[in-house]
Amino acid sequence: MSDVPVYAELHCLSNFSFLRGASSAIELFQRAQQLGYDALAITDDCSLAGIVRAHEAAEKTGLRLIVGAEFTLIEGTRLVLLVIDHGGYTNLCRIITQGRRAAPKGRYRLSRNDFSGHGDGLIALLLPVLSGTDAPSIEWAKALFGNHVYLAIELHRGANDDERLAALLALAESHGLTPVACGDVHMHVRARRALQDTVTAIRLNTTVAEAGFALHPNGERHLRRIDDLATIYPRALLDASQRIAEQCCFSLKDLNYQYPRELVPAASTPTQYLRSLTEHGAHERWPEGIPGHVRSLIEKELALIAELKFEAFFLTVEDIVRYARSRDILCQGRGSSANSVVCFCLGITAVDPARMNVLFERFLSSARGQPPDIDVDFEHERREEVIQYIYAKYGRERTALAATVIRYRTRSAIRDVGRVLGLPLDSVESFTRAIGGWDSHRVLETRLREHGYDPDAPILRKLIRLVRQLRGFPRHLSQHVGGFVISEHSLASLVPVENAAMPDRTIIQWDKDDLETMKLLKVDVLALGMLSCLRRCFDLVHAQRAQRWTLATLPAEDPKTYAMIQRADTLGVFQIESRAQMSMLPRLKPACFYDLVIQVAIVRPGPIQGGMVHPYLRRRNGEEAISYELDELKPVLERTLGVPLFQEQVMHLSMVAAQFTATEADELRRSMAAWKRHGGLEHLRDKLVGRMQARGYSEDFCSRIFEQIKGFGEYGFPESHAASFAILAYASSWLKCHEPAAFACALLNSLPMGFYAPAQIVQDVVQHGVSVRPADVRHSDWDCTLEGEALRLGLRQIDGLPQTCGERIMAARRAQPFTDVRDLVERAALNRFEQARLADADALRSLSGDRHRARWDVEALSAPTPVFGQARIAEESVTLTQPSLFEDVAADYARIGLSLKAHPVSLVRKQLRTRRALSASELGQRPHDARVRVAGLVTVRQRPGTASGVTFVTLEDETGIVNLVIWLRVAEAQRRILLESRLLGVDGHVQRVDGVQHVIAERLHNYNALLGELTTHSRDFH
Amino acid sequence: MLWLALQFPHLAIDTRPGAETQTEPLAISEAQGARRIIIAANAAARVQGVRAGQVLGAAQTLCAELKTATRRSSDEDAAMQSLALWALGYSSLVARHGDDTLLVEIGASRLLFGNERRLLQAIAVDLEGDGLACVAGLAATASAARLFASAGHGRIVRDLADLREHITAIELHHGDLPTDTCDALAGVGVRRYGALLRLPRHELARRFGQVVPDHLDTLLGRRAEVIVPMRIAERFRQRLEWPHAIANSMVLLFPARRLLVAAAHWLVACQRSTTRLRLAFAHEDHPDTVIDLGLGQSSADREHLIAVVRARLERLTLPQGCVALTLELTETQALDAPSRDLFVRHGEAPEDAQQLLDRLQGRLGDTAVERFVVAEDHRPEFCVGATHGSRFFSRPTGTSQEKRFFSRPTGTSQEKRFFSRPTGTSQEKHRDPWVAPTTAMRPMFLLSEPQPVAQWPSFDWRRARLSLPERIESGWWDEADATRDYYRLDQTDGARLWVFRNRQAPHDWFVQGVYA
Repeated sequence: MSDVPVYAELHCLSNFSFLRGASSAIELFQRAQQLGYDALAITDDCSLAGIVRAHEAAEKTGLRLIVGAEFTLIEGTRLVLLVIDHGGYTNLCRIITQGRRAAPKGRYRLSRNDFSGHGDGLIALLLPVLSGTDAPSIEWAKALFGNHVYLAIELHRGANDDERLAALLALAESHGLTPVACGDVHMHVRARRALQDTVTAIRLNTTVAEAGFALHPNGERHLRRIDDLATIYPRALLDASQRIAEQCCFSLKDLNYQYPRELVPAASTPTQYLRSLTEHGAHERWPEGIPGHVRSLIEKELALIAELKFEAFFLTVEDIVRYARSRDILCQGRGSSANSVVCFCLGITAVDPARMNVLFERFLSSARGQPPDIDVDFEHERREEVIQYIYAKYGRERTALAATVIRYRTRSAIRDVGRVLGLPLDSVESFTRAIGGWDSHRVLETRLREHGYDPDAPILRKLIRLVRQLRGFPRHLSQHVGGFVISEHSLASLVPVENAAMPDRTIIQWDKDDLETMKLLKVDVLALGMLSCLRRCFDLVHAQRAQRWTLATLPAEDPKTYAMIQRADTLGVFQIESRAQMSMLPRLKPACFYDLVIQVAIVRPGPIQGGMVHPYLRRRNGEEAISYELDELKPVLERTLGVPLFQEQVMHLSMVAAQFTATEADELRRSMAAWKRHGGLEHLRDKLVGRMQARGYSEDFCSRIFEQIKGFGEYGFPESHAASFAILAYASSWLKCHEPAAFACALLNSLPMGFYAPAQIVQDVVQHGVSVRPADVRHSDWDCTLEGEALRLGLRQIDGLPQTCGERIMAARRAQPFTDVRDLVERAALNRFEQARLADADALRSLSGDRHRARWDVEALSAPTPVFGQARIAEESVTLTQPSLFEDVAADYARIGLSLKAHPVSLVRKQLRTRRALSASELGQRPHDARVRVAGLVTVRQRPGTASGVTFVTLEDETGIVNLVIWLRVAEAQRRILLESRLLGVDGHVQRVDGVQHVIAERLHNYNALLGELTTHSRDFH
Repeated sequence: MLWLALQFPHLAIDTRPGAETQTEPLAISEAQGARRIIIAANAAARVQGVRAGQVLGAAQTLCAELKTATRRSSDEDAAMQSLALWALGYSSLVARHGDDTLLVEIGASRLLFGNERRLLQAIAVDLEGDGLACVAGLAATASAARLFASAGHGRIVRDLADLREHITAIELHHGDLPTDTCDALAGVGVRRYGALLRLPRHELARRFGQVVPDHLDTLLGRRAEVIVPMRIAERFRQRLEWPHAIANSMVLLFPARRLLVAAAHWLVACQRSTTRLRLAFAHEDHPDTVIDLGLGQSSADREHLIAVVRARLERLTLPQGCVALTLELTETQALDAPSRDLFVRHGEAPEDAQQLLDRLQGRLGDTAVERFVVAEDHRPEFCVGATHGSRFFSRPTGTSQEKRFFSRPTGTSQEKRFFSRPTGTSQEKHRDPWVAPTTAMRPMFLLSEPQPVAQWPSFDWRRARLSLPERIESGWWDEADATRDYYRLDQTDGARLWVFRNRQAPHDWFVQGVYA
């Protein structure tokens, strides 16, 4: 035995023991390595949620990780389990799963009996409580874990450590157990004591001052120096820790995940089966014969898939997509591998590789060694059917959703820390608003002073320090939006499974980063509103014209559609309908599918912050020569005219220009996705820029490339994603162009989605010459419908009307048309509320009269009729005031959010004229730079983060829309008018560039008074 | 009958002295479901567009520097109660309506004042002095008076027959009809009383319920209205708070006067007089200054009470600024009741402990009675303390923000928390059983403040033997972070001391306690 004491920490919580552990795995490992520990166990509270991060920290620091978990059983027994081998790991997962599944989300419930049969491969460290329960705990543990039971002795300089040590040693002796020193570590350094107290108080929903003895009496629960430990513990106890650590030779690297195999028929291999499905699909896609270049691409892709053994993954996705198709659920794949020829043949994507003039760089490279990434979007209202199919097909044992780790953000951290420091609730809220989202210390101080706080006040200094530490800490596990993990064997032997908040949902304890590290298959089953809209539109067109379109069969490269897109006449279509997209369309003038791919990707933070937009547009318009810094970049950047726009191009560029290996390029990609949260791009900058400059690239070019990489951040837009979106943008544009009534109808029935409210969609379709009819109980279904070439609004447009009511009306009307209001009310069993809603929405007009009369009539029906059920009561006839047009429009807006009778602005046009305000159509006649006054309803207020304080406002009148640009100076000076106006007047000047028209605001006027009580609605984004 | 309706629409702000006129925008908010709604805003906030009824978030968007405070309904209620007592000085028939309206029947009392004008003037003068925003309506029926007040018409309609024409232009929502009835009537195009009065009663009742014709009848005096006259509280205790500390004791006479006027109203209204009253001046971080005033003889006269208090205030020196004042009539009697003895005699109704304590303290003095409390805190000096009245131990002082946090509200509910922990979540199972210090290891006598060993009379290092220290690190949150190692030291004189040294200054030793 050497003289230098040795130690391995066997009982240590990371911050994945939510609101207990006060340090992250990497902090713990770095500290333990500095201190010369032999190994470090991460033993979170009945959880392996943080173990993959611990594994990565262990690899990074070179210190050995022991996998384990801590438990408190309902009998009071407390223990730590450590994994010896693979079998032990499986048992640990099962125990955790058992405990977590038996309790509501976030908790667990385990009794000693639950461990039966799962003792193999595990070491138990009992945490005695020095009371009568110790003896039964020890006996139970010895029976279950045999020789692998130890008595943990944890001393933290308490009031009577001497006696405690003596008592514990005696207890160990009397039961023949080996005692071992443990730390019950909650933090990596003593300095985290305040944070540890803080999270304890948050957990107990109290304040630190009132938490009392629930707080630890001192900061000893950190990774202590081995010298210090040697003064507290007898040497033998320290040595024991190392001996136990040596027994634990399991590593997460030993896990062997397998794809599900049942999809392959017994007689064939996965390779053969994938080939046969691909061949079959190819013949369907190209009935006249597979083009030569496609054939060779298929061969190349199949060979790569076979080499990497990813067949099962493609087959799994194909199976899900096939199910969706069989149920007429529209879907579309995206992700880096989704737009391969194989995926096109398998029906996973509708993007025809033959339609794109450039081949995808797919990064399904053998070097990357990571599972391919395919997300599939389904109709948002029917995704649940697909999810239930997956559960049913593979069983709950083998299928679960991935977790999402919900982390503290600045605001939530301020809220919780403020609360436990005992600040009044009101102060915490205003404080949160004042400093939410700060990014630097200087900014924070300024903001605090602005809001009347003294940043030097001790309480604020504490708050800020704690919030800084807490930010980014995991708070709890939630379910991933749609990432399914499917395994050949029971998932519970691979990773613990726990309950999600939604009933019947289970999640694994790992999130998508963990899955990527552990190379587990994840299929993202996502929901997309536009797919619902497209499917509805296909159905409507089919019913009307007996033409059954699909995403793949819509006429490609239609010039009329592109002409419409170039006019920015894209309200309601997918992706290219936002104001930013619309103002780009007339400049970029998409004329083919690949242009749409670029259009979708270019209006993004990446290209914008990287300053790539204008160079691209100039080159496209022939105003600037296309050049490549060095010729070697031509293959990478040729298709985007020498300007990198896509995430793949940046990666490819790094490989070509900076000679990154595929692994380094992949590290770059992952850092791009994570730097906003964790930072850490700087070392890559030095490497990238350094190597590029060494190879002859200019400093300016290099730093622009790097800025763009940063801009990509979390919004990185891969080319294949853009292509998948572009096909939906094209399909929706084609339908809007050729089937405007059906498209508007489908869009209204799929709301809420996109940027626009029903009022704008209806006004737009009216301006395209479609006649729109009001919601009426005698004609309307629940959904909007087509009546010949006209669009009939559905009862769904009526605010607050329940769907069941619409269905009852439809059923009663099918039996027989309604004769009068009483007939309607009786046969459709309308309750009082429903009657009033229908009357106020003017949906009874054809049965009763104007809305005042209709309401008068229905109110009489709801009163109990005396004695004779059907007897009509003789009533005095009354004269009700008819609603004026203004009142009618106001009531329409209040009840259905739009009016077909008149546009509200047209009602005040006369008053606006006297104020010399132009209409939207008149504005179009004014020259560039003219000074104008315009006015209209505010429909959108938007202050995007990328636009440095500019507010974009959209005004609407009876002739069209006006886009305003409001600079920060004006917005600040007239803040209240900007925020409060529903009818906004603006003095400014016209700016017209490349067919894009804006009014630059100089002065704002609130014209609300003209509207009276008319309520309008604006979508405000801040 | 002639009814005066006094509506105080701004009570939430007005009950906070200085709030309306302060330059910082301030809004009072209240939680309604998941949202916080603005109840009232001061002038500075209204200028920026903050209005009652807004969602707090929307108000903060309009006015970034908006300060908010949570509504204190009890304050508003107390203010209304006080106003009602005041109104009883003008009429024997006073009723409260809703949260913010008083109804005063002045038909009978106007004669006492000579004429109506004089009476209304007297009322107006009183109200002005109170600084409460008020709108008034005067009409032959109580509900019409309310309607005029609410609609801000300020009309006087003495004659029942004239009421009808005066209400036609008023919008329905100012009246007492339920909101959903008003909405339903708006649905048939009826928004004002004029249109409503034109519709036939029977048809109206059939559609919108009997409530509609009944409401019209009540309004027009065709139907009697049920009015519940004021009930008077059994004890008088009122508190006024203000946002900034007032240091000058003579300035405090103003709030004191307001409380005394209310007290006098109360005494008159319930036919009692007082012999003893208590004024408690609350400070931000100092125990309340409590003055018990015995009166030579019982009194119900407000000028007398004010004179007594003024005399006392002149001599009063407060330890620091005062932020709230509570007036309690601790002893009152029916105009000729016998006084009570100190201790309860056999056969008399037993008092509860609190009353006994109050009386003991009242008779024997503030500091003569102490209560023993135990607090959960790892720092020994905060563990145990004695308290006078409702205060516990004084915490070390920090910033003002912290002080507010540490000054405990008065009352017994807080006290209980020290004896039984609030029920925690199920997570509390994680509480380490070893965390709570074993009381057996603690000395019997703890010093309220640690003393340096040099000051300990007989301290002697000679027999000292350092065992393994107990480490205590706690209390970072209130500027009294303790980072100490504790030792038990035997002394030559046989005593055993509990001493510690500060880990930041290891040479400074302190005595914390003595083992028995």
